[in-house]
This record gives sequence, C-alpha cells and structure tokens, in this order.
Amino acid sequence: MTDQAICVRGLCKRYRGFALKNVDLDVPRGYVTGLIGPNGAGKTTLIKLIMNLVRRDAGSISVLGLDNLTDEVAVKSRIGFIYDEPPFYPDVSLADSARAVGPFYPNWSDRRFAELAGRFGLPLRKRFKALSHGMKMKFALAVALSHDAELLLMDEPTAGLDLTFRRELLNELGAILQDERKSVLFSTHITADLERIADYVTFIRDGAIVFSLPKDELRERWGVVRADRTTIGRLPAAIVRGRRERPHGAEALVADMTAAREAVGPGAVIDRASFDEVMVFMTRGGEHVEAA
Amino acid sequence: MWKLLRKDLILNWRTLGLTYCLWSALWLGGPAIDTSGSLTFGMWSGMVSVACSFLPIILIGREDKFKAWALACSLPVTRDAIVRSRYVGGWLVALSGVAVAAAAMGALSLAGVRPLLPPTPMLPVVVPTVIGIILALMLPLGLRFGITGLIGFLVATQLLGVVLLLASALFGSSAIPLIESAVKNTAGAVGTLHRTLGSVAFSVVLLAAVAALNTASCGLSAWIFRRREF
Repeated sequence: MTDQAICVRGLCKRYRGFALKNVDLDVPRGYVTGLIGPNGAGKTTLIKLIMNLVRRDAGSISVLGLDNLTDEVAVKSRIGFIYDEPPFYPDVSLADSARAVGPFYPNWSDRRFAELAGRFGLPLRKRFKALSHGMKMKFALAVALSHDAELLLMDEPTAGLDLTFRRELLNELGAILQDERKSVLFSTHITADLERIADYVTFIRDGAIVFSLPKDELRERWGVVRADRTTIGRLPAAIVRGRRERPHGAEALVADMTAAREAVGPGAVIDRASFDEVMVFMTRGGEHVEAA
Repeated sequence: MWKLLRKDLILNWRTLGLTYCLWSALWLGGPAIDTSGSLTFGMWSGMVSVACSFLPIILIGREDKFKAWALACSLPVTRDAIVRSRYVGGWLVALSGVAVAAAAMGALSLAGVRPLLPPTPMLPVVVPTVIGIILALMLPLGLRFGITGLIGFLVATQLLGVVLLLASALFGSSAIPLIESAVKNTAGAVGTLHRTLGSVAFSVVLLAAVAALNTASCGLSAWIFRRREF
C-alpha cells in the first residue's frame, strides 16, 4: 500500500489568463492536508483535476495508488467529494437525494447515513433548498462519510459559513477523522481552518505550489523578523520567504527562526509566524513595499 | 447505467409526473375540442411523436439548471455510462409520453367524445423513427451545451422553417429548388424502397437505420462529453 493518498506529478492545465504549472503534490495517507492560497490561485482547479471534472493538459495523478483516469470508477468509489456549493437538486428531499446517490458506492451504509444525519441534526424529509448553507455542507459531509470514503476531497467546505457553524463543522469533521484516520485534502482561504484541523499545509499561488510542509514545522520554525532594513538585509536568502518594507524598518518571513536569530543577532525582534502572516507575505509574491 | 436511470427517476419523478399530467390534459383537451374529425391518425401520431421527442429536455434542463452535472460526474461511473443513460432515459421519457397520449386518446374514445382512430400498421415504425431522429440530433447539443444547446437547436430549427417559408412566399417555390428537390428525392427514394422491400422489410431497415443513427449520435455525444469540463 502506498503511503500517499494523492500523488500528483508534473500536472499542467492551461486556461485563458491562468495556468496550473507543473504541479507536484503529495498528500500523505491518514492525515489532513490543507490547500491554502489566495482566490484564483488554482485550488479548485487542482481539486477538479483530481476528480477528473476538468481535463489535464499534462502530468499524472495517482489517487490511493490508482490512476485517476484509467481507474476512474474505482478511484471515485473511494473518494468523498464535497463542493463549496453542493450540487444536489434543490427540490428533492435529503432522504431521496441520499437514496439516489447511495447505490453507486459499494460500501454505502444506510445505517451509517442515518446515524450521521441524526448526529448532524439533518431534517431528512426537508428539501435541499430549505437548508441553510451550513446544513447543506453537513448533508454533503454525511453523504461523503456514509460510503466509508478513504479520501475526502473538500473544496472550500467552510466558505460562506458563520464562525459558529464553521467551528461546529470542523469539530465534527475533526472528531470523525481522528477516529477513522481518513486522508483529507481540503482547500480553504481561511487560515483558522488550518490551525484547527490540518496536519500538513500546502500553499498554492498563481497556479504553482509554493510549499508543502507539516503544520507543526511551519508553526515552530517559521517566523517574522522585524528590524531595520540593514539588519533584514543580513538574513541568508535561503531562509527568506517574503519581505515587506515599512516606512520605519522592514519585516521578513523566514523559514528557520534559529538561523535567522544567528544571522541578525539581538538587534531584531523575531516572532513565530501566524498563518495569517504567512498568507499575507506569500500572497504578494514575497516582496512588497508599504507606502509611508 | 441502471443506477443512473434510477437516480434520474428519484430526482425527477415529481417533475416528470406533473409533466405527464399536463401532457394527458393536453392530449385529452385538443382532440376533444376538435370534434370535426379532421385529425387523422397519421397526423395525430406524427404530432405526438414530435412533441414527445422534446420531453427529455426536462432531464437535461433540470440537471443544467441546478448545475448537477458535477454531481453525476463525481459519482463512480464513467462519462460514457452517463451519456448512455441519457439516451436510454430520453427514449423512456419520450415513449412514456406517447403512451400517455395514446391512453388519452383511448379515454376519449371510451367516453364517446371521439371515435377511436384506427391505428395504422406503420405506427410502431413512425413513432420511434421520428423520436429517434430528433433525439439523435438534439442530445449531442444538450450534453455539450446543456439547456442553452437545446434552446439553440429549437430556435435554429424554427428559424430555418421561418426562413424557408418566407423565401417560398416571397419568391415562389423556385427560390428553394435545391431543398425542394432534395425533399422530393428523399421522399421518392423512401417510397421506392418501401414498395420494393415491402412493409415488413422496409420497417426493419428503417428501424435499423434509426438505431444506427442513435448509436452514432451516442458515440459522438460520449466523445464530446468526455471533453466537457465542470
């Protein structure tokens, strides 16, 4: 059995005005990987390519050890896929929607679905359109988990949810994942989601993977150095991931706080980088100057 | 494929049921109002076949409207299976429409509103031929462009008819000699074939041609649908 739930190599997809460029990505089995990046970075395109909802121009995608095109049916029967806007018929009840979808999956369990529906408080007789966005996402999650999917692919599952619902959904997801050791790839642009459930973080920008790291490494080793421009200039280029010039000094995002401390000495302030700071530094392509 | 048909039935049965109710009202109402007896069986079956051929728009239209193609394409089925199910489902929906219309005609007859029109021997051939031709032309557009493609198909055929009628009215039949001669030649060839082969063999050939057309159309649709992105 391969250790990777998803293995992407040399993946390319070109649209007018946007291209996914030579993407390599490994999603480890049994862990939650958060795919983060600004809007239009290529997160949804990457997930759709894995699901073969869009056609790739080049490269290969292996899912749970199988090619996602030649073994499409086998692959999809082991994936639970959740869209940001679940595409269920709005005028059909939840029970009927589940009844329509369930038989496609060899491991579908009505009992499991009923159990999850009860746990999430889903009104099965109500039509899909009568649900709030949060409840729609919970329904999609219940369907995805009822066929014992080994891999969950979620495209912006928390987008548009209020804080309470988002936390509730992530708590439910976290609890289930902890019990069952499923592999998850979820895209988001909400950094708090990563803090809560991700084990690995992959950052994508302008159609290219910028980094893919264990969350703990990011949290413990990455930092923000605040000092004057000369001191910031002494940082080794190899550890600098982004730089920001301010009217009275400069800041740099570094991938190794220990090396940064040795390079700049006591004249600089070095704090751990929050996910928000990583996002801000990385989103701007690493360099930007703030006006006075 | 059967799972896909079952899925479509579960997700669309209310709309289909309502449509068939309206459909039966239409076929009950029309001939009941027109009691002049001018509606021949040939005209009736032609009208029913053409009208029923467009009923599968319901399935494609709803899927398109709710952006539910992505749901079907994320299920563990191949895109080819989705296309095949659309063709089989389209035929089932259209033939059910014919059955509803026939039941309405039978009901009118039993109620004494209108005498039962005598069915012609060619009925089992005419109905599937008309349905088969329309579905074969329509479904590739529907599967590629969704409801927009279907509306485009309808508008284009309507416009073609309007243009031909206008041309014919303004310039006489000589304005469209090519089309006129093509139609006449085709009708002549079909008539000759019918006379030469006899009714049974002709029916078999015609149905085989419709089946071949639908198979080719299904192949084209599968090729198109494999390239569609959601």
